[in-house]
Amino acid sequence: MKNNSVLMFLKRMPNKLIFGTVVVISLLIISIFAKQIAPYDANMMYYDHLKELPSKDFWLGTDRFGRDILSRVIVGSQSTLFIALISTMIALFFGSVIGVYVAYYGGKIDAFIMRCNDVLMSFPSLVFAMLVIGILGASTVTAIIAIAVIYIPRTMRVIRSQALNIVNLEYIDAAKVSGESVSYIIFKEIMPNLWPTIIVEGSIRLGYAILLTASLSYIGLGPPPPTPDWGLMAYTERAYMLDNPWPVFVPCIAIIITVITINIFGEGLKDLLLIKHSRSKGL
Amino acid sequence: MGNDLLAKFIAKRILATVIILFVTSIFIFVITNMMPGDAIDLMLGGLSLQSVGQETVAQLRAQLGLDLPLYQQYLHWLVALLQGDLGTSYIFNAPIAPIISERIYNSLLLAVPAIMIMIVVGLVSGVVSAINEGKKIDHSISFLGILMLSIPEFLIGTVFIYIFAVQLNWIPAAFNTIDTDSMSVWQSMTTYFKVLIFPSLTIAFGSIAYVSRQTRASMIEELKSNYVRTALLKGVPYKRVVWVHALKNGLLPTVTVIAFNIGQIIAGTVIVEVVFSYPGIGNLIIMALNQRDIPLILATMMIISLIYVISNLAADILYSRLNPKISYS
Repeated sequence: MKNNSVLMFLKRMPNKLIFGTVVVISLLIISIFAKQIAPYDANMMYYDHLKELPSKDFWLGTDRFGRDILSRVIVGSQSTLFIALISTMIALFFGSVIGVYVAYYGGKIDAFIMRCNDVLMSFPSLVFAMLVIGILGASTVTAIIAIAVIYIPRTMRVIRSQALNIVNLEYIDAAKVSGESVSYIIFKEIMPNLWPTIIVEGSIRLGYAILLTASLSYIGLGPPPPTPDWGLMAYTERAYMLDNPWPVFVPCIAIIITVITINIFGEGLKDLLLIKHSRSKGL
Repeated sequence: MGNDLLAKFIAKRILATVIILFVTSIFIFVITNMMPGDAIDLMLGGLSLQSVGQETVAQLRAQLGLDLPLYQQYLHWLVALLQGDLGTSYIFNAPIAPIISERIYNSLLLAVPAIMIMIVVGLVSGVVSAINEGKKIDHSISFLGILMLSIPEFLIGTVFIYIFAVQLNWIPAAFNTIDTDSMSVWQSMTTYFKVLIFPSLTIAFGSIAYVSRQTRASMIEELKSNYVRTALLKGVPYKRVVWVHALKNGLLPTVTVIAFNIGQIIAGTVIVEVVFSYPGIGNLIIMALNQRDIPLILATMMIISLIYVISNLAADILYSRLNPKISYS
């Protein structure tokens, strides 16, 4: 019986989702065990192998300090994915909690929070991130803070608009009348109905977050060198493209593959979870 | 649903925008002043406080108005800003307004063509995939769309530089060597098509997919409507029905997507300016942030926010003008 329902579930899964899940999980595994998988130490400099093209020893070549590019890209996945994942999770958490609260209470609190949202969203996200990081100083932690702060209002808007459809339903009134506490209603009655929206929103955000993380470290506002980080690698090696373009293009290709599969994964999730619901486009 | 209602709606939106800009200015001012170190540290450079003398420092501070409480500093800044005085930059040691206007001109030189490329390519590809819904062309366009949304701008720019600057030597690898000021109109046009087209293409790249997707979705709906069928049955050529009759209505949602993509374009411009070492507003912001030039940070941030908020306002108003179904509340 149980096996059967699992099979049914798998059958309902769109191909996009299966493909996306497989690649995302393998990316996660690579990134968690990066230090074990990488053939060399990512920061080890082999002075007799500078700017080498791909060879049997160094599969993707070496950079201008003789560091193995394959190892740096593998270990670099940690920094990029870590910043993007953590900031997306923070944004999702605060975005959905605040979003549901303001939808539930409505009135003045709602209006006030939405106006604050308007102010926070009166910058393009990248420019806002630059401002926050410029003030706090560039590091992994500030990159996480900046991206989370940018995405909280955007996530909140999407979650709030979904929650607004639910707070007026009869069963919420019933819960209120029967004297349930506010936190019980919010977490036990409203939230469960929002999970599909939250998950889909998260997967879409994650794709954007990776691009933003990479762009920030590309303009020098991410983790400092010599941290292996995709955006940073592309930036620091750019001036030496003439001799060997591999150190620039390998991390870029890693970014593209990651973002594409996360986008495909997100589209698949959307097909599976939200296929019947029409969903407002959250930018 | 008279014109009064519309005018009221527009007035309300403009008022809201002014309030947002006002609060934004407070917000920027406060967080910029939270930065460690102030203008004095910057002006002293490496000199120690002792060697300059406390008195000089205090004098400088008073001269720049830095000894006042923060709210007074803010009011002074705001009053000057409203009079068009953006202050004096510490790193350039010159008034900010002319510096910014030159940089904005440079950035617009990239951004405006990028917007045009985005609109033309986005619309055409959207319509083509709508006509061929479900066919191979449609699938490949939507796959290309996902691809374009997944590629960071800096990579496209780097590829352009690698091919056209490093390998073919058509364009300079750093664009700050191009002097647009001293050129005649004709010269700058030809330079544009030879050189600046690459950064513009790079900026447009990320936004094309949004426009294309939206156009496709609305065109598919329009093509199923009765008036399209009627026109076809009356014998109007298919191409004319698609590109004139249906597109006119299908354009409506696309117009807003285009306006809302201005933010994307601004962000794209910042990155692309770094990639191409182009002297625009984006590189100016980065320079200001790195050097902690507070007046310059304030000015650039306010300008960017102004452009962004106004383009969103324009999107709202356009949408309400074009769509009679919207309720003005």
